[in-house]
Amino acid sequence: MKMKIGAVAVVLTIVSLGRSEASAKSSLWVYTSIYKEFIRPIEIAFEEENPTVDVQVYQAGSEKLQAKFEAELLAKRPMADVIMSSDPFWTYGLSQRDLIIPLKSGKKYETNYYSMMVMIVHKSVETSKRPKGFSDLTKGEFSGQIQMGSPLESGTTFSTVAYLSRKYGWDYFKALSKNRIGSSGGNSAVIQKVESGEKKIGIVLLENALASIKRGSPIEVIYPEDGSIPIPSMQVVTKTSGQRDVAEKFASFVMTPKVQEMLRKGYMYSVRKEVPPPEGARALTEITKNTTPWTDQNIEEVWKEGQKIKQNFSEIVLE
Amino acid sequence: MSYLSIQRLSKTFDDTPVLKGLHLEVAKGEFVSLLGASGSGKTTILRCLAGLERPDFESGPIVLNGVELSHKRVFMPPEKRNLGLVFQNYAIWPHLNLFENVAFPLRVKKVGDSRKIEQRVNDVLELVQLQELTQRYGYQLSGGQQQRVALARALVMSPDLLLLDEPLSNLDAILREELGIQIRKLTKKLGLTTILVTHDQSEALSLSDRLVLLNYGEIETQGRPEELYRNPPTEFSARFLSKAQEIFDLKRKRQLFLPRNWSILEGGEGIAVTIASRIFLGSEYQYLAENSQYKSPILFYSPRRIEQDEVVHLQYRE
Amino acid sequence: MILLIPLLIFFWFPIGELLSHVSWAQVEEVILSSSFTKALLQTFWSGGLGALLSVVVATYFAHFFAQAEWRGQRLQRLLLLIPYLIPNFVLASAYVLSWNPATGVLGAHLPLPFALYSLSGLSFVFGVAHVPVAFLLVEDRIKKMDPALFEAARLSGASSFQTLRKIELPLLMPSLVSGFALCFALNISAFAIPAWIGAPERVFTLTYKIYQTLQMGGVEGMTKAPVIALVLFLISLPSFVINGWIQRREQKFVTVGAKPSAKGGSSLLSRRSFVIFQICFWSSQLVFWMLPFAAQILSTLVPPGCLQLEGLACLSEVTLRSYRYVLFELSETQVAIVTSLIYGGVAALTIVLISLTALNVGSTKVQRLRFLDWIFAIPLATPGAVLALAMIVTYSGKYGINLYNTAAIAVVAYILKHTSLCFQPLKNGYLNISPTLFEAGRVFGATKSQVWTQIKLPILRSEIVGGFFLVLIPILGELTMSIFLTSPGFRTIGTVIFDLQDYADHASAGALSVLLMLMILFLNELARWISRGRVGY
Repeated sequence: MKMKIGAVAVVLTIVSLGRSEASAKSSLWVYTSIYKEFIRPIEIAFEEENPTVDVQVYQAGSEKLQAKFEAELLAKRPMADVIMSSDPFWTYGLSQRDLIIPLKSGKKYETNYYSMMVMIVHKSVETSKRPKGFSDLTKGEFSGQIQMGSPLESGTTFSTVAYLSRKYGWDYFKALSKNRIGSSGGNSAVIQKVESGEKKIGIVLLENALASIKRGSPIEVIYPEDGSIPIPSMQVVTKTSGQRDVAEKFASFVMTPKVQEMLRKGYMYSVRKEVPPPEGARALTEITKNTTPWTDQNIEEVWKEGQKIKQNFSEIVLE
Repeated sequence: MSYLSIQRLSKTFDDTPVLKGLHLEVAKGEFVSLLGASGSGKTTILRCLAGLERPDFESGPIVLNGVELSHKRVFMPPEKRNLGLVFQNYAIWPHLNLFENVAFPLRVKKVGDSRKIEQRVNDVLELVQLQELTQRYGYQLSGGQQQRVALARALVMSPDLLLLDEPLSNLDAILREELGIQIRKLTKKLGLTTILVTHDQSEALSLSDRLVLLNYGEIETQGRPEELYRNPPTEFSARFLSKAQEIFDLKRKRQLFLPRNWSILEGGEGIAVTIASRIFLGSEYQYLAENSQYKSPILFYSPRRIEQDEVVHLQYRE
Repeated sequence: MILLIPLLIFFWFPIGELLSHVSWAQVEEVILSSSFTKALLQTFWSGGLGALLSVVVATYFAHFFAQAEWRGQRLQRLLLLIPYLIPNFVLASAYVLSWNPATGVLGAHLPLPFALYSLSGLSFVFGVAHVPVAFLLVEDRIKKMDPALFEAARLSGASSFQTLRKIELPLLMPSLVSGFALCFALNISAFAIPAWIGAPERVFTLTYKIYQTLQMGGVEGMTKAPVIALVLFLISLPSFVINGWIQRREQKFVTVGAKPSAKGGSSLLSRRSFVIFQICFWSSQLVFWMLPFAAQILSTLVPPGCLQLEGLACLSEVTLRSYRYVLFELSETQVAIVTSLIYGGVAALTIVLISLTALNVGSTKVQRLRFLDWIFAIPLATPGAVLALAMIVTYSGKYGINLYNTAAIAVVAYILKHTSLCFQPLKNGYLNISPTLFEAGRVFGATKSQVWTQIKLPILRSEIVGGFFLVLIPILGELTMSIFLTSPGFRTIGTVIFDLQDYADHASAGALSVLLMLMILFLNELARWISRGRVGY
């Protein structure tokens, strides 16, 4: 008797929880690695222009976003309509795996903003004792003072390692390893280490650094002389999307000056030339003077060599 | 047809037979004791009667007052049987006070309104002399008081059959005697048919109308306590009931003596024995006496005080 | 018996489903890599050394707590148990703040005898985190032993040390072994502590490997992670088995205790040893968690980085800004507190119902209860992230049930993961009740269901309330599964803390962690109050 009551209660609870979220509007699922604080206004603006659409956002770091969508693919129930990820290689991979449809612009994928990988330093470090560029980090005077994320755990760190290993070769990382560089977690962990003074110098996303400085964090940004590392965020519309039109509409909406301006407020660089750099940041052209830009070709190469890059890094730095 | 009839009762636990096709008839108003050592199956009989165990399929019917309690596929669940049971550990529910423990059977059976229930509970509590402690909880009661709560709870529904599972074994000697007599009186007064399970010979001898001696799942013997005690029909009953003593004579022939049948003879007749040890038992003494006829000392009782090494003469009367 | 099968399916199927995607080549690839072997060894050592520390400290303290009575004992006991009530990531981050090699705020005055970011450091923090677990086990055991056993030893001429060594410890051995096994199992499946303490100097454990594999492993990672999880499970298997074996053996010893609650040994504890105990207690608790937590709380009250840079001079800048922000300005917090309580409450309630149902199915059959233990223990031993992915793969409609993107999927995951925590104490409580109490109910006219409602539930009331809170507490701070199984409107305190940390807002994350801590302590007191002191710590 009691078992039956128990069993019925379990079923009822699950069913009622499952049902309570149903909605009359059509839902558009957007998977994004843009922080909640900044994706929310975009979501609202789109809904205002399209009152019949209910935008649902899954926000998480590019790694979790990837794990979630891959799990959905495994279950043969992909949910996302639009994916905007700060991991350009995975997004590119989706297009190669025939999982997406072309956007209105005709492209398979589209860069909708840039994040910038720069350096930060604890403000107690004298200006003369600060590194000027990524290449300076191999100097003995910075031994034991540098922190970066781990390419095994963070998508943007992976992009950074991919970029630097192409630009300076793996010898660069051998030198960093000799300099006892710390490597764990993602951008947030790097800021925490530098903010607390545990490490003096960090390699980190500009948007995270600027937001922390605004909150009173004792760190300062160094724009590397050898060029900040741009990390393109890419958007795609999935092949399994039940409402391609709305999805495409959302993707074009993100490219409009209005939304690009919103992204700027979140300390990201717009892909539109007329939109100024984020508050407190230098101009894109200035900080990428010495940057080697990403091309479709080398994005494809990195996508194919991803496993090898992680393995090399592990062997050189992590073991 | 008797009031309670048990036919060919068998019960097997994990391939071990505990009851082996046992018959028992009990008359209305009778007080029957089931006496046996541990493992004799006495508690299992009680649990089968109460419906806490289901007899093996090949068992015959258990019929109480013309109603079949169990037989083959018939099995009346315990709550339908209207029995009273006093558990060995009393099973006083710890979350209910004394009053509610006793009122429980009335409440679950929805017998009358709360006034009627209160009346009935108070009547029963008066019967066991516990009227004052109704608000107490089990852990606030002494062993004797708990036993009386358990008894009151068993009586409150005026059961068709009262089952007592070693109700006195957790009490001290004086209380045991006192409460035993009280139970006997009460059941006679209420005209209850009672089955007492015990491993204590004196308890079984002193309380029951009929004594059933169990041995490994079978009835060894049964009868009126006095008769069985004086003339145990089997060797097992002689040993178990009357503490029979096994002695070998000089020709290595085995003999069985009931200690109570030895008496002291004046005037030099009978077997001459030398007192080896003496134990004071209160109303009498227990002696072990060396002698020339048997290989081991004779055990006997006497109210007379005899000093060690003194020589007396004993006679055995069947 | 028939109900065991649905339970088995409910609790095991998702994990099995995920494992079904694993290929043998992947198993080989995972197991043969050198980094895996290294992680396996490090897991083994840190888990073992940590468990050893927990058991040694816990036994010493339990010896006094179980046998003596003094004023303030209940408070001291609560203090001892606090590391258990606090989410592990709070403890780990407090250690980093206090003893990181460069700017640890306690490092200068009170250095640890070893580097924090090392195998020793990791073992030490494991040890500290699980002292309470071992303590509860050992204390219970000592309480159940008859003080006459020790008194007899003293009267036979043994000193108090000899009594401890020759009588108490041998009698305690079974629970020491099972305490070690339990702590070991908890250590090797912990994630937050290795992530904060081990990872900075590359002391990786298997749980951390699982995390890395899932983070950047792509599709392969999703099927490789369960392989590592399986290995993790296999090395925790011996401790489960030993534990079960010990407990069965221990049944024989239980009769040793005549009066379980009697504290007769107090007169035998010398004044001197008691004073030494008090000194050890306070100094160890100060180092273990009081000072690190104090630093952690202080750091939420001053600007970021200030405590490390300026030390106590920071106190002039004390501000409640972070608290104001998370409580009143961050709209998510209030929603998260409410939804955490609702979903946590629903999950905890369902867990209690499932546990009771399972008890009914298992009733007093030891074999069945042991089987049920297994059913519930396996999801508990599975790392949260792996379980979450298993949930997605199983419950997105592939088998006709689609809970994906509803709060239900997270609630079901919470249930799977935590039922064991509720079932264990409930089962022990149930087995401690004499079955005659239930039989008496039947004999005196109650049907089976009346026996449940009128006898079993009321008698088990405090275990039920306790079980409810025991699972609610970890669910409130649950992180790993919540992140994957989030859905519209679904925010828990754990996910908000995670988001804040992800956004590098460590001050706010710290403030919210402190609030979560206070909430848990409050719930603990509530549980004690409701159960009249029989439940809670």
